[in-house]
Amino acid sequence: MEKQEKKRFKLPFHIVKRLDMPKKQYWIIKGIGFLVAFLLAGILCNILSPGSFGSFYQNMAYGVYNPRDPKEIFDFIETAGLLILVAFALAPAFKMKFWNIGAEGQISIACLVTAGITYFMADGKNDALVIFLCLFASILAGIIWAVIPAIFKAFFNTNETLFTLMMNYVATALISVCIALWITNGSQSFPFLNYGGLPKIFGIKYLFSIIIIVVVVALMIVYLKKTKHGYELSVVGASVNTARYVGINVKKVIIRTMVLSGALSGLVGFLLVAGHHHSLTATLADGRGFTGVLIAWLGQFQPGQMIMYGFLVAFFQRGSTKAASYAAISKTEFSAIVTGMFFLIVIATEFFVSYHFLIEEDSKLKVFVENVKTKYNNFMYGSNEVNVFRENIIKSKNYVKSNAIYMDQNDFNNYLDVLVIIKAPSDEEVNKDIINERKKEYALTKNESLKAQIKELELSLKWKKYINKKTVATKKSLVKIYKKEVARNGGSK
Amino acid sequence: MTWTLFVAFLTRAIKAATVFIFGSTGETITEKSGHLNMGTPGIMCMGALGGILGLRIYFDIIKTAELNGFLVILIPIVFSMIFAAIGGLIFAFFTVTLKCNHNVTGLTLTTFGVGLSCYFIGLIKTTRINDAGLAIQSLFDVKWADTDFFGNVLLSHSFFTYLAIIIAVLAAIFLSRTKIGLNLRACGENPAAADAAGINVDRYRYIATIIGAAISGLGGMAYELDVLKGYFNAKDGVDAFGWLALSLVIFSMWKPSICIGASFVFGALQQIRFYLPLSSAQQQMFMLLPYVFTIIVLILTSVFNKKNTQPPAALGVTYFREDR
Repeated sequence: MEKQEKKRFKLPFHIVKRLDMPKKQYWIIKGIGFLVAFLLAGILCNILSPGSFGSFYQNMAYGVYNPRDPKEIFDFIETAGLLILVAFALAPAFKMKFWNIGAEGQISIACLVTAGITYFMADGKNDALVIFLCLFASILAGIIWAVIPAIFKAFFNTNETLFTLMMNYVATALISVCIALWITNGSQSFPFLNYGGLPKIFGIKYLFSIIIIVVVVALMIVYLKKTKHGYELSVVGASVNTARYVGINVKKVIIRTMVLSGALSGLVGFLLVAGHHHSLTATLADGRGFTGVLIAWLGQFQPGQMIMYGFLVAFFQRGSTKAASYAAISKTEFSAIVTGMFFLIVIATEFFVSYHFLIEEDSKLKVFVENVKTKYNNFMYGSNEVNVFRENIIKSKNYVKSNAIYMDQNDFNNYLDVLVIIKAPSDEEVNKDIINERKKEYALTKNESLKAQIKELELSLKWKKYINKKTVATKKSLVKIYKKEVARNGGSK
Repeated sequence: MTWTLFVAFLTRAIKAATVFIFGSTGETITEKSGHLNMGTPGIMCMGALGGILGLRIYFDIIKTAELNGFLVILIPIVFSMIFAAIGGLIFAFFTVTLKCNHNVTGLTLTTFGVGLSCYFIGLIKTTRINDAGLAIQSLFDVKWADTDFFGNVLLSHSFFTYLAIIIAVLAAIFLSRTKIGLNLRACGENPAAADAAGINVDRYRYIATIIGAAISGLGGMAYELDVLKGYFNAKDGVDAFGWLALSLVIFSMWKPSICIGASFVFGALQQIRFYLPLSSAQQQMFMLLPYVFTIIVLILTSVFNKKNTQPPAALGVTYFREDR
C-alpha cells in the first residue's frame, strides 16, 4: 500500500522581510495607524457615553491647548517632556539590546529619596541646598537601582528583563514601607511638601522642569549621535562577539550605559517630586517607566521619532482624560484604554513597515490577484482590444500633434534615451469616439458582448475625470525634471 | 498566634495561593514556548471581568430564582477562560504573526487589559454576585470543626483550589513527560532547530499562548469570586497578582510542580500581615518579600548556571524562519 501524503493547509502567501522602505511610504503607514487609533478612540467614547462623538475631538484638543486656561499648554509640554526623558534614558540601554524595563523602579526610588530629603531637611530657608542635595541623591539612587541588574547581567548573564521588572516592585514596596515608617501620626499618607520644590519662572509652574528636560535631551542627542560611546552601544547591540573582537570591553559598556540610564531615570523621579507632585505615593511613577519603554521602542531609538511619539502619547493621554471628563466616563480607565489601543495599533503598523507579503506562485490567491489586476487595468486604461481600437482612431483622426521634447542622451546616463511627452487628446474625447463607434457596431450586429463593453466604457469615462488630474500632474513634473536637467547641463539640448 | 488563628491563616494562604497557581501555571506554559507574556496582569484582569460578567448574565436570566451550584461554578470558568483567551490571542497575533517585540506588546496589553476590565467591572451591578461567591465557598466545603487542622486546611476550599492544583499537576506532567510537551519546550529553547525537526513553531506558540492565557485568566476570576467572595470592586488590584504571578514563574524556575509549593509561600507572605500583630511598616515589608525572594532565586540560578533551572533559551525572542 502506498502511503498517502497528508494534505496540509498551506497559506497562499509567505512573509518576507523588507530591506528598506521609502520614507514617504513609511510615514503614510504610520499616519494611517495614528488616524485609525484616533478614530477608534472617538467611536469607543461614543459607545461608552452615547452622543459624545461630536465634541470628542474638540475635547481631545483641549488636552493640549485649553482656551480657558492658556497656561495648561505647559502642563502638556511637561507631561510629554517627562515621557521623552524616560525614553531617552532607556534608549541607550535598548540600543545595546539590554532590555531594561526597570525605569519605573528607578523613577520610584528617586522619588522616594527626593521626598525623604525634602521632608526631613527643608524648612523654607535652605531651599537651594535641599534642591541640589535632592538632585544629587536622586540621580545616585537611580544609578544604584539600575546598576545592580547591570552588574549581574555583565558577570553572570542574569536575565535583565526579569531582574529589572522585579526591581520595580521592590522600589514601589519600599516607598510604602518608608511612608509607613516616616508618617507616624496615623494618617498613612505623605503630607504636601511646602518647601524645597523647584521655583516658578515667570509665574509658570513647570517651566523650570521643561528647561531642564530640554537641556538634558539635547545633551543626550549629542551623546547618542556624535560620541564614541554612542557608537559602541550600537556595536554591542548588533553583536556582542563583534564588539569583543574589536576590543570593546562589553562589561564596561553595559555597566556604563546602565549608569547613564539610571541617572536619567533618577532625574525624572526628582522632577516628579520636586517639580510636580510635591508629595509621595507608591504609584507616583504612574506607569511612566513602562510608557517610556514603548516610546523608545516605537521611536526606534531615534531622537526625532522618540520626541514625536512622546508628544503623541501625551496628547492621547491628556486628551482622552479631558474628553472622558466631559463625557462623564471614568477618566483613568478610559485614558488607559485609549492609550493602550493607540500603542497596539502603532505596534501593528510596525509589522507592515518591516515585512511584506509575497504571494505563492501556484496558489489560488495568485490567480485571484492577477484577475483583479487585469480587471483594474482594463477599467483604468481599457482592455487590450479597446486600446488597439483606440490607437486606430487616434491615427485616423490625426489627433497626434507632436509637441515632443527630446533630451540629451548623456543627461540620463543611458537610462532614459528619449523622453517624449505627447500632447494627446484628452481621454474623454477619445473614449466618446470609441463609445460612438461601438454603438454603431452594436446597432448593426446586436452583439450582447458589445453592449457590456459600452457600459464598461461609459462607467470608466465617469472615473477618468478624476484620474485625468493625476496624469496632468505627472506630465508637469516630467517637464520640471527636464528643465532641471537642462539647467544643470548648461542649457544643452 | 493562637491555634485557631494559625489554621485560619493557613486556609487563607492556600486560597491566595490558588490565584498564584492559576496565574503562574498559565504563564509557565506560555514561557516554555518561548513567549514572555508580560500582558499577564492585563489578561488576569480580563479573566476576572469575564467571570463576573458571566455570573451577571446568569443572574439576569434567573432573576430571583434559586441558583444552580453546578452552573455557578461552570459559567465563570468558561467566561473567564474565553475572555482571557481573547487577550492571549491578541498577544499571540502580535508576537507570532506580526512578529512584534514581546516586552512592548505585553506591556501594552497590560495597560489595555487593566484599563478595560477596571472600567467595565466598575459598571457591573454587584447584586447577588456575592451569593455566588458564598455558594462557591460552601459547595465543596467539608470541614468538620473550626479547629480541625486537616479538615480546615486541606478540605475547606472551593472547587477552584482543587482545580488549580489539578491543572498545575497536569501541566507539569504535560511539559516533562509527553511528546507534545517536549516539542513545546523545543520551541522555547531553540525554535530554529525545532522548525528543522518538523515542528510547526508558530502553531505551538499560538496554542501555548492562548491556553496559557486562559489558565492565567482563571486566576483573576478565582481572586474575585473565591478570595474576595464575590464582593468585587473596580480597584481590587488583580494586576498586582499578575505581576506576582510573573515573578512566581521565575521563583519556581519554570516548573509547575515547584510552582504549587512556591505559590503557597507567596500566598502566606501575602496573607500573614492580617494574622500577626504588625506595625504598618512591617506589614508593607511582607509585601516586599516575594519580589526580593524572586530576585535572589534569579541571581542564584544564574550564578550556579545549572541547565535545568535556566529560563528557556529563546525566551522573549521572536522567531522568523528567514532570520538566520
